[in-house]
Amino acid sequence: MPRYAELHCHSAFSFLDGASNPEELAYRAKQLGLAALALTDHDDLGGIPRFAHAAREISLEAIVGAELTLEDESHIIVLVKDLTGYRNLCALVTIARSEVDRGNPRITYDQFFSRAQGLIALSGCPHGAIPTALASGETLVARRHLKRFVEVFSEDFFLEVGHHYITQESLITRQMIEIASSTGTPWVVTNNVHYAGSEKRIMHDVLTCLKHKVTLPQAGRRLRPNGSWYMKSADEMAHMWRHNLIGIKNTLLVAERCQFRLGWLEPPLPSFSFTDAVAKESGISISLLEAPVAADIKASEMVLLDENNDGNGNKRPTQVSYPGLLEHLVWSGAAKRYDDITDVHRKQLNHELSLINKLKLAPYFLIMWDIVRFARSQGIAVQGRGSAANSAICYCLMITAVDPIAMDLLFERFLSEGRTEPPDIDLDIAHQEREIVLQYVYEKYGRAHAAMVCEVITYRGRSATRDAARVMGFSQEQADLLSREARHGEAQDAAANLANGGLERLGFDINDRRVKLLVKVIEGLHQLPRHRSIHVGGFVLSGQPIGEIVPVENAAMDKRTVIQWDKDDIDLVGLIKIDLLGLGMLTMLQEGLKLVEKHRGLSIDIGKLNMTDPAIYAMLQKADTVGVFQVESRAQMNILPKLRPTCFYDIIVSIALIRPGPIQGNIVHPYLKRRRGEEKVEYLHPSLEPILKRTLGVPLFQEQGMKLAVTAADFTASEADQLRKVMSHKRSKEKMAKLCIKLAEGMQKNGFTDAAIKTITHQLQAFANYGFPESHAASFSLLVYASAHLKLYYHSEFCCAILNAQPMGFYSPASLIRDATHHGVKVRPVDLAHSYWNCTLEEDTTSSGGLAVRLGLRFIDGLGNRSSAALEQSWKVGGIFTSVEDVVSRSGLMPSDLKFLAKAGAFETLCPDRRQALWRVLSLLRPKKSMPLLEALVAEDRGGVDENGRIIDCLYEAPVELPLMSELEEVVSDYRTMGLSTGKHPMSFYRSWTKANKIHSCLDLYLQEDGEEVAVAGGIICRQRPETAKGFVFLTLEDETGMANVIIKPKLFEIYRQVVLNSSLIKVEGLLQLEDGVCNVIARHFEALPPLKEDLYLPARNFH
Amino acid sequence: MTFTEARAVCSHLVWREYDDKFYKSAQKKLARELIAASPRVSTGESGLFFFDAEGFNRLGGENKLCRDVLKLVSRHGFVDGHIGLADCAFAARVASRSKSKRWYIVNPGCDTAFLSPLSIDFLPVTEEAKGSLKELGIKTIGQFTEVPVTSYAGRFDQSVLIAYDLACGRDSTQPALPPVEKQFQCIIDIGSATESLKETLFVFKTMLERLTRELLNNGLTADELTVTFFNDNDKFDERTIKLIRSSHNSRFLLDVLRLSLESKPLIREFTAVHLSVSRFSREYFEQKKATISKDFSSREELLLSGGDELDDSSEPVMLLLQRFMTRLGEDALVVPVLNDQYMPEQAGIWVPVVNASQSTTPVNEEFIQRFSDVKTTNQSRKDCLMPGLVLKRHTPAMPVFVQFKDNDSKEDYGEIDSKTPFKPAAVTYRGQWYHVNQVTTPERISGMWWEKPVRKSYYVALIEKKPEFAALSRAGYKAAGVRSILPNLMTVLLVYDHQERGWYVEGVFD
Repeated sequence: MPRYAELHCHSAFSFLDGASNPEELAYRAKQLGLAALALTDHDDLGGIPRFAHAAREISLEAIVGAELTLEDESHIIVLVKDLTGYRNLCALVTIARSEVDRGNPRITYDQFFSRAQGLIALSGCPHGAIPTALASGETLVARRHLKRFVEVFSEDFFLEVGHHYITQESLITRQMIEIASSTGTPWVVTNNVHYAGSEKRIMHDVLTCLKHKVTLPQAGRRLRPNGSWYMKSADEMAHMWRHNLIGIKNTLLVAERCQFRLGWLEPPLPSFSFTDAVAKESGISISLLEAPVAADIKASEMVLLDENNDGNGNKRPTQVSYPGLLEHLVWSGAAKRYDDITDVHRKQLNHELSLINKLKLAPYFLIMWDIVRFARSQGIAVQGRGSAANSAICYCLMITAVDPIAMDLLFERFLSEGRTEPPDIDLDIAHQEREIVLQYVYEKYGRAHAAMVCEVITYRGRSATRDAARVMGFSQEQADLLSREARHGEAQDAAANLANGGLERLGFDINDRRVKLLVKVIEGLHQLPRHRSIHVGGFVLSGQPIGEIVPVENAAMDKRTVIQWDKDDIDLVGLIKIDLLGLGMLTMLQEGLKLVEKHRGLSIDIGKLNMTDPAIYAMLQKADTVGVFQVESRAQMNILPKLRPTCFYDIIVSIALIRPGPIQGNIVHPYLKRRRGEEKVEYLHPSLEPILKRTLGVPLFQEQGMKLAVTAADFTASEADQLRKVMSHKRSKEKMAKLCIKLAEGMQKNGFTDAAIKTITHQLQAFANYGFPESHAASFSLLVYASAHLKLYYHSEFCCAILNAQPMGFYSPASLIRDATHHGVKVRPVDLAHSYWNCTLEEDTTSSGGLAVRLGLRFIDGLGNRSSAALEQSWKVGGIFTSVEDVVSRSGLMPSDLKFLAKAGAFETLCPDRRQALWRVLSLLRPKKSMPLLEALVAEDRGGVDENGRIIDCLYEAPVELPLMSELEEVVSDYRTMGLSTGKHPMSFYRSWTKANKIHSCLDLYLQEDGEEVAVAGGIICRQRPETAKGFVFLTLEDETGMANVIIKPKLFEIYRQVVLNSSLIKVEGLLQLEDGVCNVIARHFEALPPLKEDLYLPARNFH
Repeated sequence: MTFTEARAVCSHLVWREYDDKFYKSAQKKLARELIAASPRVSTGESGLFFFDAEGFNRLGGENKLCRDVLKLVSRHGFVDGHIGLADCAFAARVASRSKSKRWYIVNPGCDTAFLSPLSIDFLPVTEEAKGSLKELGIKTIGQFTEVPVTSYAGRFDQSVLIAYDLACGRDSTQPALPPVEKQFQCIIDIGSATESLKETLFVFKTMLERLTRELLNNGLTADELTVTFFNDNDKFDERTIKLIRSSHNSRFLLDVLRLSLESKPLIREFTAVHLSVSRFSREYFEQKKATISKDFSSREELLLSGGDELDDSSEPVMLLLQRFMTRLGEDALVVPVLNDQYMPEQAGIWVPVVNASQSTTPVNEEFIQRFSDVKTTNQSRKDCLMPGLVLKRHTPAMPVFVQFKDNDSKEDYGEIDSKTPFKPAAVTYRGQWYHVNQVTTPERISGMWWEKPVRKSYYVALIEKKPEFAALSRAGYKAAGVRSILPNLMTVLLVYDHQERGWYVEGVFD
């Protein structure tokens, strides 16, 4: 029975070259019974964690390696023997990626040789230096290369040969083996695998075409000549090489030498240091820093003090240890947080501190404390989210704003003894100022020790369809058409959609071979990585240079470095990750509070708001929540009048309830019924009462799931932690199913009925599809309450701040402005005589008084960063504009921008009437040259003479009367230039028509009877098709009176798909559903509204 | 729309090349026909004609004119023609776009009134200018002309000023008499029947001298000749001869005609002959001369070297090429064009010499560059079965029987298939069995899965007649009194087609 280890294998992380995911390759290797498999992607280690993880699960020997590109563009395979080798490989890939142009990784021979320790090198594919020299008949050069490699790698260098039924390759192979025997260099056989099975060859061809940006017929020899680059079994390889098995046997020798496995890594935390200034600011006394230290504390556990206050100088150890400093900060924070520190507080804080110290995580908490401290010192709003809010220590360190002791939150959800990886603290930061915090982290810990996490972007339905169509030779228009039909979703679903009638609907002839193959190609692209992008906020920190743990490369964005591993892959090696996420709502709140202080002189501390204000709860009960954090969506606005929140905990419940997890777990309706008293609160087992009492017998939060597992199924702490991990991981459905089996067994032992077991496991399985921890919901609820407070009492400031914080939230600026005007806020149009880049507040001098919002120029389409900078500069130098000429001469804007401003009505004060303004702008942009003779001749030629026969002076320009704009034209112009209008709602132009046709306004619907057949018309402002809704589509219509919800059944949507997706203004007929003040129309028929004189397009937010 | 794009919608689509010249000649032809309706006709863009309708003085004959013109054009296949009649060409052109009427007549002096309510989309202005005009509320031509032209001058580009004149009914476009096209032809009626080549050439010489003089006077050269032979008004032979290179050299042209007559003699005697230069072009003065590198001592050596150094535009070479083309047909003379496909049958394509410049073969430039850098040699190598040989392809490939050794293992794995035999032992070729003396490991080429998929294994085999069959065939041939023309030893390109599951000889290395 022959044995063989594959030492050269590319996964899909050799972007646009490998056609199989790492897991697929690992499973295939196991299936074929390979002795070991090495993953050797092109200058990339991105697939290694997934590969190692899959290999560990199936007990496959997984060798870490890569195919590096050298300075002469030759390739070489390197495989990792030990930890040093791994560090060297990471460093080599980091150098290759960081020191040259993006997308063109290279290392010099010197760099390569200097990091050779711990690595095995194979001469590489036909692009290797030795095979390339042999191919061009330069045997001496080949031998010189070989000598050089052997000098460095000694017995760890192997000549690599392959057999893919190509004459040229077989000629080179023969020469390689000749050289190997003449020089005594060992040689190995590899198959240079690029896909797991032969059926994947077509995907490899497609990816190759994408890489070279050609279609299949154009690809020629860019494609490989045959499909033999699949993973072959030991039998097959042995048969191919039956005349000389040495190369096969040597693969085992190499595999044996490569003992390193990814789990060996234990990256240390970075050392924590601070400056004197920070120490003073944080109330850390010198006496503490110089206090005697316990004998058992090592020097490496001592806090460092920066010699210079800028933090960049030398560091000296203080007399305080990490645990000591943490303890000090926690207790001084506790004194500020709690008016009275009781035994409960002391017990909890001591418990948390002891666990943190036991797990040696004190530096991690100090790092987080420092980041929060820095953000606050800069006036940047910051708040911890996620499970960190379960920790009283985080509360005392000001990282979170929720008191877990008061709310009885489960600390073990955050940190437990059984936990093998560090806790996860996510910080939400005001999104427009997040970069300042990111750069602080980079600076503080050094660019070598901090980097951002990447996100591997995989093919989705639309992208797969578009790319596949392009490669197959279809036109751009056809590709767009197909991708629209593919809809949002996975590539597999897109292929199914197209195969099941989609192609015919688009007029494609399914008898065409390429059309048939297109579906197959789209399906094949399912879940394949397409490219990398930077993660929204994931940051990794390490005491050891990160480039030695994972390859780091420069991001496209300036001053950012990014690691090659996805956020979900770093847990395996225990890298410390922090999420520094941008949150628009924090920016909004920060700006809103500043505006309140500026215009009303009131300083509001959102941490000290009256959390029992009945007016706010009344507003929530009415679902008057457009713009309010988290509870503004259509689903939330439907649930609030049914839930009728009366206390802060109800907000927490509301946030956690409308999530895919609870919705799929059929939790929403039982909870609402129980809350309204329509259903008795029952527990599936008496032991569950203490856990589920607060949520009326249904599990809503992840903490409850964990407690339930411990109580009902006797899960240990580490098993419960396993459950937590599975519940919060995106690729975890299968793992959850496995855990549920164990859970069911445990519950059976404890006397749970079969029905109860079934219900509980179903509910917990649903959590794996996105459920909230209670602490996270509580953190978010604080923002809900704060934003609701601002909206209710300071609506002008709220409106101004939310417009300036765009893009964020659920609604477009147009809808936010409409809502503000409904609440009596005056919103004034863009005006160059008054507006700045951002929206501002102005005194309303009319009878109503108060503050009016002046729209900023930021909403005018096409004005970007360049225009913003030019305008800021001109305002700085010459103040606000005083005339059209002033704007044209001083603003530094492009002619197209100026025309756009005129069309948007931004010259209204300086030159009333948009058309006249545009007329003037046009004349100023093209100043007339003075050529009197020529002008006179032209005028005469064109009959330019007055009634007395005298030639009219061409330079003199009589005022021109241009047609006046109608109200509708102005609104249309507003939408075309800004996507919003402060004028009439477009639907108001239809009002007489709707009345004549007995079509209701949105507000009218509330006056009709439940179950009545109604017709309603409005502009579509939102289209949604949640994954949990089983194909149902939800529309939000808007008119000048308010909003209406429309529910479309899947079959009806298929019929009216074109109308629903392509119309802005629509008429809906259907059944009215009025329940608890919630109004929905179950659609039966759709019609686009007849066109107005001017074509109007309302921007909508679709399918989010 | 690309072919692939179109085929995706209609899988049975047939490909036809677009020929711009065809449209242009159709346009000219129609213009010539339309003279019957009006003396002054000129052509505009494709499908557009301007007529002079002045003669009617708007007395009511216009309707008949329009009807007649539409009838006339419909006879030529233009069944959806539209006509506009107005004082100025611009207004007429706009009027012809009427959707409701096939002809639209603007009353005399009413051009401005007719144009006034129409959209400015009819005006030939830039899209940017059109957009700005609309933004200014100027949506009709009437609104456009209400604003003084001087106001536009400082704000818009020249296209708006030109459009202003058009909108005011001032269009200088006037139909003209169609230009008389030059024709180079002559006809000789001999009066008696002739079939002698010598006499025929004498007649041609006279004709060609006259035609070439005319061409020279006009600075033109001939691209194509058409010769028509008559016997008492009965046209019995017409031949069009494409020239490999434009020429106005009467001797060269006479040679070409001679070659044509030699390769395809006339079937009967003729009494009259018509010779025309059916295609001609401007004379090209910078003609290259043949240069032969000093390294080549003889012309033969030069040709053997591949002829790269030979300037194929020299007169003798051209005549040689013309001789081939005239004798063997237009498509017989081809040049190879490199392609970068793997399949030998697609790795290079042959393009007719006359069309070589128009070839649009997809070639991977990078690939060509890379491979042209590799040093190649024709010198014999031990490991090469076909040193310096040329493959003579069999088109189509020749199906053959193949025999294997009884104990030979069958190999195959993966994507090829499980019945691929390994190293054939004997093969038939043109009805005779050959031993396979030497054979390479197969080169496997598969792909083209998006079109007609191909999966083939290519072997280069040195085959030798089996002695027993050789003896048999010798006896057979001897009995028949002929000698076998097949050599005993050959190197062939032996192919196993995995799709067809059959063995073929695709060519012999010669």
